[in-house]
Amino acid sequence: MSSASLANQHDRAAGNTCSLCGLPIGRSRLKQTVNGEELFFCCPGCHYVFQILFSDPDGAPADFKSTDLYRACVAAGIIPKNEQDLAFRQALQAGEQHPTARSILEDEADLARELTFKVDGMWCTACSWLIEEVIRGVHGVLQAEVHFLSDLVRIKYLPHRVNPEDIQKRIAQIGYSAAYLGQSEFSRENKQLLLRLGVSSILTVNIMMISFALYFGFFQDLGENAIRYFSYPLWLLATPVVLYGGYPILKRAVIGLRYKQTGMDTLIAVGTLAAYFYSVLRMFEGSLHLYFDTASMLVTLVLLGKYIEMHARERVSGGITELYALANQKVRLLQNGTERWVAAEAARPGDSFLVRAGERVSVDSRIVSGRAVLDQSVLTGESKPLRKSTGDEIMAGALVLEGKLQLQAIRIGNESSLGQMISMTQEALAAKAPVELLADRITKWFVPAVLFLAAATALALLFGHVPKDEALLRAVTVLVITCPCALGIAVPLAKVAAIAAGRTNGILIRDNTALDKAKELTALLFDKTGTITEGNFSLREIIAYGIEEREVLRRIASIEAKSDHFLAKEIVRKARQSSVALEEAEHFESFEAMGVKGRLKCGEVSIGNRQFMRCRDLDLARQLARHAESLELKGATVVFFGWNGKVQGFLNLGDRLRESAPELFQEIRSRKILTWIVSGDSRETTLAIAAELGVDRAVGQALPKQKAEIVKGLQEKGHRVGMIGDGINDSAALAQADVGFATGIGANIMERASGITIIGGNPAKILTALDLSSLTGRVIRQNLFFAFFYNGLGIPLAILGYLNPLLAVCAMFASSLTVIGNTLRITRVGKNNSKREVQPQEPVDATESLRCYSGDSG
Amino acid sequence: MFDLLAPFSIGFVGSLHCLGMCGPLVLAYSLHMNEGVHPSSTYAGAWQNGFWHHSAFHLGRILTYGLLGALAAVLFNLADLGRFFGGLRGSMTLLGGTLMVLLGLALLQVLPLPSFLTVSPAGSDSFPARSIPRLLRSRGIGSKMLLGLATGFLPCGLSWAMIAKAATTQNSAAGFFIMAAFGLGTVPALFLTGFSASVLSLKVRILGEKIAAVSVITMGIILALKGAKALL
Repeated sequence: MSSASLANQHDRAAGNTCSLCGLPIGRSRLKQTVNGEELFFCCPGCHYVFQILFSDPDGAPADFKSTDLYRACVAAGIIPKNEQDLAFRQALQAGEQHPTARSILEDEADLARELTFKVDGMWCTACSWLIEEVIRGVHGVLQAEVHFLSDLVRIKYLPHRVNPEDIQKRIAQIGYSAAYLGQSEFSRENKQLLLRLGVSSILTVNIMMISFALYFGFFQDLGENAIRYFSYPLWLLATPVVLYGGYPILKRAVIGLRYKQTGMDTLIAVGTLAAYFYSVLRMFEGSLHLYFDTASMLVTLVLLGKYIEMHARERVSGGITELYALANQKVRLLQNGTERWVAAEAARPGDSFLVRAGERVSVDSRIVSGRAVLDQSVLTGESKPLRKSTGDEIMAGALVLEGKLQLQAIRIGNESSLGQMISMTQEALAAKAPVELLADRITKWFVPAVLFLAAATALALLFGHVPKDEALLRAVTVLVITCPCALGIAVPLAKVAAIAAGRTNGILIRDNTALDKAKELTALLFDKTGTITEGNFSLREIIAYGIEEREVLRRIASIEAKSDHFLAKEIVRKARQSSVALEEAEHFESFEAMGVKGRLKCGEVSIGNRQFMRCRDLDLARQLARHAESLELKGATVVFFGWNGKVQGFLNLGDRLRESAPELFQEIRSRKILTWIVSGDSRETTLAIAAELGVDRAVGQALPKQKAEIVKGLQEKGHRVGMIGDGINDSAALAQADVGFATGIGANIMERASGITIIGGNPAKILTALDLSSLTGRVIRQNLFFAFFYNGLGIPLAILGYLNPLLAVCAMFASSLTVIGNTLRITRVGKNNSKREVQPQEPVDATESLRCYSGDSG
Repeated sequence: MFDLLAPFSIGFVGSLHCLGMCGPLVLAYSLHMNEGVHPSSTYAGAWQNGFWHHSAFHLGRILTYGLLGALAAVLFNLADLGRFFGGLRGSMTLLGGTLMVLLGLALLQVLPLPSFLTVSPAGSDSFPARSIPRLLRSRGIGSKMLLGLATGFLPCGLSWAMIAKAATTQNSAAGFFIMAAFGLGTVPALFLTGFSASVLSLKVRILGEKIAAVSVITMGIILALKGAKALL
């Protein structure tokens, strides 16, 4: 079904809810016809407001659904998505889901498809094991990974054996709900929890008030019989707290028992029910020692802790969910001169579409026409606006601040930079750190152990002639104080926080161990081009003796047109700009880190560095060599060319140091980290730049293999080496290094052999990455300490009777709160030192004049 | 004190419903407040620089409510025949209470609103339809106040019910404060339009409306009983 017909149907069906506020219209008979569409209102007020807002003062009412206001209202949720709307969205979603799922199916031998659900209702890491186990048991499911913190389930399944709906149903059977990404998501769970929490806390406050009054003998004058009457209101108040507020806890505990999985819910449920039912029994016996307050306080605080944790989770993973949101956008497709909104996934490479100011570019694309100021801060974490114009590439996710662009999609879906970022982040999230596995294992055995410990405590105390009350109380205290809820989130929450914080700063962490190791680096190796310089070479001049400039450019560009080297691209661009007609080169050959050669009608042409000229037996005149050297000492990059047995001249290609580079090296030096520059560029150029920045060592004219060897050499000397490069010709060095940092934008982020990728390529982000690494390490250690500290301290005290369950609940709550609060520190990384610069960056001057030297003007 | 708490809380709960009706108004002037910004990001931005604008809007609205309350109280006082006929003492309270019950039932959609109230209130050429869009587009803080003042007059069953309650006090100051308290109660939900709308589900909003309606009916019954008692 096409989206257009769906939309119509949807509009027609929306007849029984108010067109403004979305509430049912009930008996109201207010209606209005706008553009042939019948609109209904629930009350005169809504009708009035609608008329004021959506009627055009200048004449006929405009199509109100296309107004900014209507969109804003829907976005803010004021005009709600009613039932039909929901069905409409689901239909759209289903329509969108299948093509993408199909596109993964490349390999014919392997018919498996992948599927990602968002699961509501996971309480603890134990829930994720349970879901994982159960889905894996479904016939036709090959693989299931549940990520507790992002609430995502990734499933690989065989479509001819099982369909997604069955998997969804299976998840629902065990008490969770699974939805496609972008559907109900977080809010429903959130609201339910909030309602339970609200009801529980109000009732608990009342229970506590009465209980405290009883404890402190406030009603003593009334006599014991009268006081007994207070038991019934307490019971009345506590029952909804335990049964309604505690329902999710109890439900999961029961489900856990059925699947022989115990988690923290089991502990809480046992503790609560023990306190509650014991009190009920005693109440009917007429005792005054009741523990309704304990039971309800336990439920309320656990709910509060969950609520806080859920918000922390949301906040912590904000940087990751943002990516999904960016990927789920629409594009304004341009077809035969008409504009049409389609889902970003439906766009194909080569499609052209329009983007206006205030909109986001939703697929990787190239500008066909127009110029604009863009904000890529969502991707790179840098708020500096960029100017782009015809021919430039734009990453999906960039926001157009000014101007209007016509774009052509170049990469879509999983291949786009956004898609790659998502899969890299998922990879990092899925991999469990060793500490995490340990914590998981401990949690798994902890719960039965605690249950046993509590039972043993109760039994031992009973045999030790401690009163029944007291024995039960201590057992409950043990249960509560040892509950491993803080332990369950100590590591994963920190991990997700680190990955998300990195992402918002434009640092993509693919490998957790890289993040772990980054803080211990003692040496940093930098590639020059594109890392500490901008990598935007511009051909400044052509120095040639006795040949016409256009002819030189024609010959060189004809050869370079076949190369994909970044310098070649600049040369070809320049030739196009000067409208030089190129000819087809034959016998093209490329020599790694040396140069290229090819045959034109006029003969063989070689282009490359000095060494390459020597290899090709081309004679380099002394005067030319001296001229080239003098330019290189100023940091320019020089490329020679020659034919007929002679070096005919060279190209002066300029590159600029990045603005942040000097400051960066100063900061690294102050951290006592060794710095190296390793570059494939000539020795002179590299040394000139190294001297300017005050780098410890510089190596020029290094082949990719040599770079890796330098890394290895440093490692043998006991250094832990970080390599920073663009990842295209540094991949060996990046892989060899302890931590590889790839810098770059756009295509092939995935191909880079690095643990950490710096989107946008600003090397100053290295410092943020190092900070993030050390902070994360610290936070994880502290979290584990806090988690164990409360338990360790609490158990003996609880057994000895120094604690009561109320204190234990508070201690447990405090431990969770400490861990969450501590983890939230990570989300602040990079926020303090990001200065907001509003000034648009000047574009690299593309129209720099092309000067030509002829004769002896060296 | 308790007399003000009730209208405040009815306003608070009832405003979950107002959100659907007045929320778009708030959003509309927010949109114009920082033109040129993408709608999806509007609310957050508007919220930051719009605090005073929002405050002016709500102040205007509360003022209108208060004045309506005071006016209704005075009118009721003037119309009270109890002054002249002792036997009719309490008749106005009974009337107010009955009105509240009826309006509450209409809010619950048990009763349809009388047809003279549901006729199309404003054509596109009426005065409010012409002037309000202008106010919406204006960026001045004074225009927000005017807009708020106008919004107070919007036909809304809930505010009518509260006006009936205010009227039964027959005291202009008391009427003013009851309506002001009601208006104040509606502020939080509207002030946080963007936030609350996304958190509150349709169900919660309907629930809020129902709770408010039931409270209104309860209050109405109490008042009516009080009036009836004085009458008998």
